Amino acid sequence: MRHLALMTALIAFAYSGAASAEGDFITECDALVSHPEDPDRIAPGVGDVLLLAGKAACEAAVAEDPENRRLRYQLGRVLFYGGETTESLPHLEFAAEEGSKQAQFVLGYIIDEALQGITRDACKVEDLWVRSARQGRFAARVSYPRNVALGKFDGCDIQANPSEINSFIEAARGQADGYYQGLLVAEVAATYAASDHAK
Amino acid sequence: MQNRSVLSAVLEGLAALKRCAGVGLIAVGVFCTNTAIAKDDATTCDLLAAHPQDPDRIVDGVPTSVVDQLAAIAACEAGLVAEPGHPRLTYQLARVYFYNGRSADAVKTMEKAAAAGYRQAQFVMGALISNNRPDASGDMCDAEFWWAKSAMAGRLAAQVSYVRHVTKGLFDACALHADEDDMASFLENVRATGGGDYYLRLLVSDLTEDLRAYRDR
Repeated sequence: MRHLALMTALIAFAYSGAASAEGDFITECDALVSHPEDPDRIAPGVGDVLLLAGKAACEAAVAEDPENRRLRYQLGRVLFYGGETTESLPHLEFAAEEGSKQAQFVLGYIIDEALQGITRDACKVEDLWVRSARQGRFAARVSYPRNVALGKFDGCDIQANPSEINSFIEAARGQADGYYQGLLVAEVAATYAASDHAK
Repeated sequence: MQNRSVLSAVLEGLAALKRCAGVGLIAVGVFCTNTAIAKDDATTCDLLAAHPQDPDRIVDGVPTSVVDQLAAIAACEAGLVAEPGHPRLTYQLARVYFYNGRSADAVKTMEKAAAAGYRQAQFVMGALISNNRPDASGDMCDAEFWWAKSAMAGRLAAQVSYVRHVTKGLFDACALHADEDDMASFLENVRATGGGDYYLRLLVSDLTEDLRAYRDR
């Protein structure tokens, strides 16, 4: 039954025109592990990832196509969820370096939160999130200005100037999906405008 | 004292809701109706007009963009003929009136549902007023009143909105119906029940800081 539902979702997604324009085909890794908010996903996205099946599928997909940043991000995702932190990081790093805005945001997030024993490194987060924000990822467009305003990037080379940071916030205002995201953008805008960093 | 009595009234109302649910009947405000639709009987109005984020809906809900407005209005009006004053159906009718551009009808009907104790309608009333929607009162103290009621009844959106408006000074001219301890409990509730949503967590974190600064002002 679960497989039937998955197949139906995949077919609907493919016919929606959202499948990759780059000619990628949907792998089992995409079907089982893609993130619902990843702008580069080519399958509907999965909230509750099946760890063993997802890991096996993504390892196989990456073995076939090791330079594919989307698959590398997804392998990193499932390994991280499974607690295989050390194994996951090289895949997230690769995907982020290759320009996956989702991997840039997620890697920045887990470093910012120091999840699963990862060492917090504010300046690395700054670098990852500014790249993700410049590529349009909503989460980075709110998180980057927020961290700047809260002084979390003090001591780092803050690569976006106030004009660009305001442009992130304005763009996020247009991207906000639902009531809470709208409130968050308004809150971040007010916090940033009131901070010394906005001057 | 006044704040405490509001809280007590709401807690009593919630206890009454539980009692109503326990006997398989719906609640109207804080008392049960003995002629009500059975708790789990979805009407056509529910199927066509329930809001996906209404915590008291009894079906999954219909996203705004796909609501069949005319069919939903007809179904909800018919539902209210069968069950006059039913709070959930009243709210759902108001919702669809609003989408259909019947602003005056929407506000009047929404207020009825809010006055009957329907927390989603109370939240929406506050939002209509604070956003200066046509036909809403435009008085921020009315928004304060409805959001306090909705927040006390556990509607997450009202809980974050109430704290945000208080700490931003937008209710400064009003007699507040929730105190600082109530507001702290609102945020704690959102934190505990928000489901780990990243954006909601950031919002609550920022509002917690805002509330701390408000307390220290």
